[in-house]
Amino acid sequence: MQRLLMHSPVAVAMGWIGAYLFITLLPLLILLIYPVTVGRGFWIDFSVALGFIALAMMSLQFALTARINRIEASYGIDILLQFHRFTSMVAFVMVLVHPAILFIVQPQTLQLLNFPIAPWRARMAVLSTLAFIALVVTTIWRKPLKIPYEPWRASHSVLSVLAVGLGFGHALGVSNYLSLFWIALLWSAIVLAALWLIVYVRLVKPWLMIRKPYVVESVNPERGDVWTLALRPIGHDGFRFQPGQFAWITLNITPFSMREHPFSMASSGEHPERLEFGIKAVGDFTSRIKDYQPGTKAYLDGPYGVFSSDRYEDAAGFVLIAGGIGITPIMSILVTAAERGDDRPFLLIYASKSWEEITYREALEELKQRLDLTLVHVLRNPPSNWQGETGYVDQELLDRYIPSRRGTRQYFICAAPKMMDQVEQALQDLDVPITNVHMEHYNLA
Amino acid sequence: MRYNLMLQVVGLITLILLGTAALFAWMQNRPVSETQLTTERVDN
Repeated sequence: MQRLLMHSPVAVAMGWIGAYLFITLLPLLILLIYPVTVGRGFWIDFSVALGFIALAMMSLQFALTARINRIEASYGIDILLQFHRFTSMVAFVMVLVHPAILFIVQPQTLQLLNFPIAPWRARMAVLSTLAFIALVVTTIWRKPLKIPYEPWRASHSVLSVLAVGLGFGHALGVSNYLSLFWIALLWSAIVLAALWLIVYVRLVKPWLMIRKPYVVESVNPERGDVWTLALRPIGHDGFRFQPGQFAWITLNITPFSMREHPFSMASSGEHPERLEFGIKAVGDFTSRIKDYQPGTKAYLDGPYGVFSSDRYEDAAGFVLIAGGIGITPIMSILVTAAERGDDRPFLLIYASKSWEEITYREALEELKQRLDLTLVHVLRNPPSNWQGETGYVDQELLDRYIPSRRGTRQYFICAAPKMMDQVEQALQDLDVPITNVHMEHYNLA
Repeated sequence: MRYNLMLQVVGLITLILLGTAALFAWMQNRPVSETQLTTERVDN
């Protein structure tokens, strides 16, 4: 799979999209094996089909967000989450259009909105739609509504279970098509699979994490308001990871609380017995990192991510582009390469606010002795005697440093979203093959 | 840019889903010819 992804990511994407369409449309396809019943009119059946498709899409969201390694290993969690957001919006519009068509074609069905006298199947539809509306509103406008991440995540799970559960209850109650054996069987399988994923994510996975605890070994300050959190496994060997990957950390509370946060490992992939994470103090949780004492219990879910040089063993070299705390996974790539005695050329273009705020500045200088590493610092507020690069990582700057044979390198970008978009566009304008460009979005919320 | 690509992919998926929903609705309501009805009656 990994080799196929390297050589033909488009083929793998087509495979996944085909599987997604097949599962989403399966309920409709199965209905076609039954003889045609008395026609209820094109628009009524179109509305029903939209309802079925929306329910299948909503059920599939549980698979997209369950961190299933087989799916995640193809494109990475950030891409999956973006797909989850886009397809959720499509399902949401379908959920709204589904009754709207009914109300237009059969205006008497508007009475089903009269909640106290409406049958249960209609009440469940209304409640499911309200849960879905609450889901979308609290997600899109989470920050303006000032909903903290952790309560939002908990409510997101509850609301999504309500939306799908009540939607399924509504379809069962209407029972036009769900009275057919194979359709009832298929929907039961889909809903049971979604329920299993919830049980797996909420109960099984935390239980597995509890069996492999870690302890905080140290919390050390770095330049740029960053803290290096070092964890040591207790009673097990830790986990091996590919440099550049990340894990979800739960600190000082039970994993069943689901209050976990994703961070990239900054240490060598060759040392599972000591995992280091670079954490910038910017939010509620990250600002408290410095207060955790050695000995604090920790739990990890990982490793995850496809942002790793290990996936491109036959690359002639690497171009690494980091902005601010985006250096963390790239540091792991460099440290691991140094430890393995990797003799390929590495070019690191690293944008920081100022000379004093360059995270891992000294460690990177040391790595130059152990690796074929070209280090280009780009400062936004340089000191008066600065001779190096300033401003932003733009096309002109990249053109001066990246090799003229663009396709001989693999390009890794980790920075704030705006910088990543600009760098990606600049690389494309410089004729870097799109399949050679890899990005890590560190804001998954 | 890759998010724009994905937006296009999701747009294409949506079109396929809507097209299949319309095809399904049409098939459930397609006009059945007298010959077909006779054949079905004989089969039954």
